[in-house]
Amino acid sequence: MRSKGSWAAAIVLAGAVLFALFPVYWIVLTAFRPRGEIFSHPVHLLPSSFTLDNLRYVWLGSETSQPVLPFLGTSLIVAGVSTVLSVLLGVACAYAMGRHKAGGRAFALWILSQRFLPAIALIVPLFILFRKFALFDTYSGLILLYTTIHLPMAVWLMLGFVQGLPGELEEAALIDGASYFGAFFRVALPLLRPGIAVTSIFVFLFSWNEFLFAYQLAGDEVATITVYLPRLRSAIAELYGEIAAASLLSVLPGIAFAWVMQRYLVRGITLGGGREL
Amino acid sequence: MKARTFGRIMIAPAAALFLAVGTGPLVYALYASLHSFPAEADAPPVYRGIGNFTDLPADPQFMKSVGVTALVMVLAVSLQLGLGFVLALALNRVERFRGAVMSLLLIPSAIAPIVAGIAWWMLFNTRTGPVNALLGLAGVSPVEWTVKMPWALVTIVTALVWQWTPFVAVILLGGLTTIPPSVLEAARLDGARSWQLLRHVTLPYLRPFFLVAGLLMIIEMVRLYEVPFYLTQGGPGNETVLSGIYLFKLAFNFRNFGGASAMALLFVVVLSAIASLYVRLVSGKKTEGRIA
Repeated sequence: MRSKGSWAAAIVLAGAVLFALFPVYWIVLTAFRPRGEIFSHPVHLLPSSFTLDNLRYVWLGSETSQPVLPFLGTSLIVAGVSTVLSVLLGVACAYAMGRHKAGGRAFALWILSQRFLPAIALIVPLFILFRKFALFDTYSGLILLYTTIHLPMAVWLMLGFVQGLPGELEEAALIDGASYFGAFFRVALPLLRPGIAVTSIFVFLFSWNEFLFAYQLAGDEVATITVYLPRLRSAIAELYGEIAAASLLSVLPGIAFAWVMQRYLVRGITLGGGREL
Repeated sequence: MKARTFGRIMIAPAAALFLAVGTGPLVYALYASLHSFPAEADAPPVYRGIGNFTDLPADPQFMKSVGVTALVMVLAVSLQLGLGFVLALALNRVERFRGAVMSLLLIPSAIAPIVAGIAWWMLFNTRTGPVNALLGLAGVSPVEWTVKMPWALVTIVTALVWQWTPFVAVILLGGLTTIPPSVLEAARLDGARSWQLLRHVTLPYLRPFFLVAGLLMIIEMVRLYEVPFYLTQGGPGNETVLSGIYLFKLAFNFRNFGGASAMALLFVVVLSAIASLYVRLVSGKKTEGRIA
């Protein structure tokens, strides 16, 4: 039976979904809208004509915009490599912490504290140090950074999965003469595959979406998609269509991800906040 | 090999990285905050004690940025928590399609923050944006959202509410599901009206979840950069230069590395205080910490 309350709830949810999706709708709409229609008066709230021109301009480049593909490529390389690195280091670290209490509580708190070191607090020293060590505006510099800033999240997510793993199988392997490394690589790691998948998706998305470091510590030789987007904005040419088209390309991973991962999204962002230390 | 040795080998790479890229730079920031950096590239930094720290309160732009950040934080966080609570109650009420609805609602939190800035910049565009178009239907004349005060602040707060409210709702929903149905049932049998249930049963249960969500949002607001960077570019004038943006101005426009480091350390102290509170909350009593 439907009570008055659940109708109210349904209306609230419908309103919230509308509000959440309207900006996305507007980006999609603008991305596929001919230039004339973007500037027409009054503003058209609904789609009428359709064009691939904006997408073509950012894809191939034009007098006013660089081709987007190299930027997407850079993002893919930087996010991809740092994902592999932080998940590898994260799973090893989480396994030792979860199974062998390695590092103890102090180490666990130290890792958690990294999550609260705001990026903006590190950027000045990193700027100076990166220039000193020739890491400024390089792939290795940015990859090193992303690997480190997302490692706490990787460790905490993986810790949850390690704690959820029954220890008997590894103990059996150890009794059968396997080394600790053998038990980790042959027994635990295959069982942790779902956790590794979840963690990888998170680290990849956060790296892909990152703007601040990409903008301040790189951005010329090594420029990611998030750095590309503000470049399209100029005072002379109002490239709304191009900006929308490029934005659309850049949010596709996030949208795909939200769809698959809503169960884990909050845990990832709160860094496994509900788990005991 | 002992288990202890194995454990140390396994955590060593992560620990080394944290030292090199996290804690190391933090120590360097402490050094930088006590020095001034001459304009010539090769000149060594000059020690000046706590001068960089004492300069900050005397800097009107710094004080202004802190004030604006506090204002945005109070507005955004209270709206995120309030609307998030309503949304969580609604999500808790509806069983069908909950997963799909949550997926859709979480899209704003999953896309790049810079795109959140871009999207709202387009929506609030004076001539081509749908916000003014919709207001126009109601007979309101066009508002210059991102370039006039107080509207520029309104756009920033709107974007932040959009970005994070569903996320807050999902945390609070986690709290709602911890309330034992028997407790609600008992209160109902005792004749409690629904607002009394809300006030005396639901809200006390949700308190730790509100705290966790609120702290996460406060941290998010202190580190805020992308949305004002794109949406208002700190304007009009310096009206929406939030503390995150001012730190970069100090560092990269004014080349005041010492002052920027001092400001950064101030952030670290404030956020550490918030974080330790957060850690105490989530690692406290079991019933208090269960989220996600």
